[in-house]
Amino acid sequence: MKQRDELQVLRDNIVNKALSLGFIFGMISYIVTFIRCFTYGFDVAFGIITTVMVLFAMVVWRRKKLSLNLKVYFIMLFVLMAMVSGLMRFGYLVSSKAYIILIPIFVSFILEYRRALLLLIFYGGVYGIFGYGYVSGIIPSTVDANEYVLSANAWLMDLSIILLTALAILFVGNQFSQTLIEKLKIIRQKNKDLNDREKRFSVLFEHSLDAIIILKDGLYYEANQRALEMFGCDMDYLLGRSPKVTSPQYQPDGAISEVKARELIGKAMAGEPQLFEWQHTRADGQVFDASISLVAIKYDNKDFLQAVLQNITEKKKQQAELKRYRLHLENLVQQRTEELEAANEELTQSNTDLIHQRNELENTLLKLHKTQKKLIESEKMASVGVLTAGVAHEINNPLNFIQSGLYGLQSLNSDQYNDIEESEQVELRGEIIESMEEGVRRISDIVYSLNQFNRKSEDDYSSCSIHGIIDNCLKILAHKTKNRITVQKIYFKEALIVQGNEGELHQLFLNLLHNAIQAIPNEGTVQVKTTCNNKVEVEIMDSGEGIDNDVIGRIFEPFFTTKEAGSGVGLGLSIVYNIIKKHKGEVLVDSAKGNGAKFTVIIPINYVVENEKQ
Amino acid sequence: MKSNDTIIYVDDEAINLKLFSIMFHGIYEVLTFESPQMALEELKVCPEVKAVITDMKMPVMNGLQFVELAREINNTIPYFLLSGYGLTREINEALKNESLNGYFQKPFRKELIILELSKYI
Repeated sequence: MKQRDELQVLRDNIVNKALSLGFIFGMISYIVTFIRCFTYGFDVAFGIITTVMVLFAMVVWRRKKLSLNLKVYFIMLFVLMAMVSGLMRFGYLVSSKAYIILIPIFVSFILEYRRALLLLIFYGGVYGIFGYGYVSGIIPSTVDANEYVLSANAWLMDLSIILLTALAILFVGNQFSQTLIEKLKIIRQKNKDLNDREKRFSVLFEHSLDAIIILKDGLYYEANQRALEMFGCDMDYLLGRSPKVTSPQYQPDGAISEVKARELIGKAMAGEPQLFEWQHTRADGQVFDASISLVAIKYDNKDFLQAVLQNITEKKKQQAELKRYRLHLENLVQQRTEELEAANEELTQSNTDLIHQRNELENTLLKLHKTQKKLIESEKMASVGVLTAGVAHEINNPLNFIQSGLYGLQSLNSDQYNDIEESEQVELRGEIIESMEEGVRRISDIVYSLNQFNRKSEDDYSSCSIHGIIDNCLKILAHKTKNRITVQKIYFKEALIVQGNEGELHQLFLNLLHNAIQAIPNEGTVQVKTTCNNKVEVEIMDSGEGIDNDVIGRIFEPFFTTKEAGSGVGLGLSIVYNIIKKHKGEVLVDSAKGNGAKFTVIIPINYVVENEKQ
Repeated sequence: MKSNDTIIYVDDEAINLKLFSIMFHGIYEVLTFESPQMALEELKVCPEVKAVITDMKMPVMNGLQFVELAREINNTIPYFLLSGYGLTREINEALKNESLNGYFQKPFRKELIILELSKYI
């Protein structure tokens, strides 16, 4: 269709050009004829030509709209008219007979060969009839030949028609040759493209990673390099042979290879692409697994089968391995699950046991707390007990003043003093009363000091004078130090007031001072030194026996004691430690066996300030 | 018991000594000493002392130590302890082995002393 269209366009083009060109030359001829009429007179022929020229002009004007055949026939008609009019006037001398030559060349390109031949015969016939007419004298010769060939018009006419004819031939020839050359180029390019494609496909075929085999009529027809490698053979081994030659007798599913192959090929040929696994044998007899896609292809009107093969032996091996692994894993998971379940059961059991144990522990802890409280209480009682004797003495002594004073007063009133002057008795009475007052004062003092120890509840905080507390403790311990131990007090120049629990602070210093006193077997010195440098520091230093190096790290442990049984349960320093911690302070101990001991209690003033602010 | 017997009272507390003297004025001739040493000296030079009463807690030596030393000087008279302390193990022992003839607890009763002393004087 396309070729026909192109040809049509070419023809149309030629015809249109011919019309335009013919009209120009026709007009020249017509003008020459018109001028010639002034010499030879206007006649019928000129009338015909004029009509033809008008028609010609119209056709040229409408040339794009008119059909090709119509235009061709019109050109033929025009040429015929021109020729006939010329022949009628000039006979043999007519120039337009050259058109007869134009006809076959021109028309044969445009019209069919046979029609062109018919037209040529027709033209020849017309020319022959006129010739016969002139020769036989039927048509009178009105033109003097000698005169005509010497006229410029005749030459111009001839020239225009010859040129027109020649140009027409040249143009048509040129048009066709150019078209041909162009077409040839296209054909060559197309041929080249085709070759390239073939090469490309061939490369693809040869270099495919998959083995490709072409079968024709169920026999091997073509195979790429890969396929040959796969089968371990050359082309001749395969060519023209059936797949039976590259297969074992039976496939893994038990089917006979030959039967199954025929069946698969049949299905593929029927247009149903086949994808399957196949066991093949190499030329050396080795068996391998392949996955094959089999598809029918049509080439050059012949039916082929294309088989694409992949060696899946390795893959199959891996699959088998994977399956083995999976099974193994499943077994493992199963086993672990069972183990976990068992463990879980055990855990649940242990958990129950643990809860039970925890409850028991909680109970024990509760009991322990109670026991601890009792112990702390008993330690307090012990320390108080230790002191009681001394305190009793400290009270009994001044009480003795009062008792003795009373006896004294009674004696003064009795006969005992008959020998004494009244004035002397008055003096004695005064002395007795003073002594009794002294007794009362001393008792009050000691009772006050004692009261400090349990004055406050445990969480009660108030301003406490460190010096006051130490003095109270020393007072209670006076009987222990009296005549035996020198107590040196080196107090800071100002009163040291801290926020604290008064009872606990008393307990703290009483414990430390008591220890210091107890550490001195006979005579010695206890030095109490207070300083203040952001923190209140109380140093209690004794000249006693000191503490063994191997126990110094344990002295703050509860129930640790070096004293004889009955002197307390060993909570004294543990209580000291807790009281100091409660007051955000610290306690340092420095001692060596035989060199006395120094306890330093540090209570931060910042803590004190914070509490005062509150 | 009209004739006033001489007794010695040792106590480091002066008030005790003074009041003791006052209450027994006209009953005993009381020699009081603040220190045991001085009392020992007196014992050496004054054989007419009929009894010795001493405090327990004193500087240099306690009452029992004093009695021990005093017995070396004069072992024929009775020795009594007048103490603010309760009975201790060592006092009990002294009472048992009769190095001590009696024990009075402060505050003491006047009649009890007269009664006890009367056993020996």
